[in-house]
Amino acid sequence: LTNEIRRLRFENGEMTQESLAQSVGVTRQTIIALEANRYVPSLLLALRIAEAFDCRVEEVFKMRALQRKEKLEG
Amino acid sequence: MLYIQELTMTRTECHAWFNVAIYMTGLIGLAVGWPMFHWAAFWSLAVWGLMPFGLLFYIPWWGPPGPLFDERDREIVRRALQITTHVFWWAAAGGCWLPFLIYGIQGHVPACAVSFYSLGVGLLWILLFSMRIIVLSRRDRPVAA
Repeated sequence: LTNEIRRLRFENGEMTQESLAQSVGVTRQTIIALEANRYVPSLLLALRIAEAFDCRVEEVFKMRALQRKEKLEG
Repeated sequence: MLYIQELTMTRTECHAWFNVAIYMTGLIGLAVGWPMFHWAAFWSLAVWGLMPFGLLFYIPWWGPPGPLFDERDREIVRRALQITTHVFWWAAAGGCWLPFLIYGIQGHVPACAVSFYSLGVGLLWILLFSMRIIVLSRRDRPVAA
């Protein structure tokens, strides 16, 4: 599972990891682990993160194989 | 109010490092003190009594605002518990058989050995649990939710 959290943070007014962590109710270390693809979040957290960026979950989190397929098609 | 604005570790990891540091301080004190003080050097193990103060890491106003313990911490603790519980039971089961091997089937186990063994197994459990939390917090592969 990969994610676009880092990109979305910068596109949303250079949001800090700390402010994103506070808005979704986790520690900053969890956001760090997510951005480094070292942690697979729960469905609830994934939904909260998507809500924080005002977009769909699929736009934030992607399966690696699916992302590769999209790149090849694109 | 004065508080630490940013933590490089989660509170769970801070607690684990605290436990390992206390544990190692006791053992190093024993190793260093033994040549000079011999049996009296065992008093260095008294620092292990500081371990319950690790709970102070979970005081809310200490550190940045936000959750003290989140879903990733919960997952790390769950996985750390799995291995330490197994080691604990192996050590406890070993403890049941060890007296027969040492003293024979008719032998008598000194009463003090039981309490020391219980304490030893408990401390082993804390050390393994803390070290497992540190490893899981730092390892470079996804932790399944």
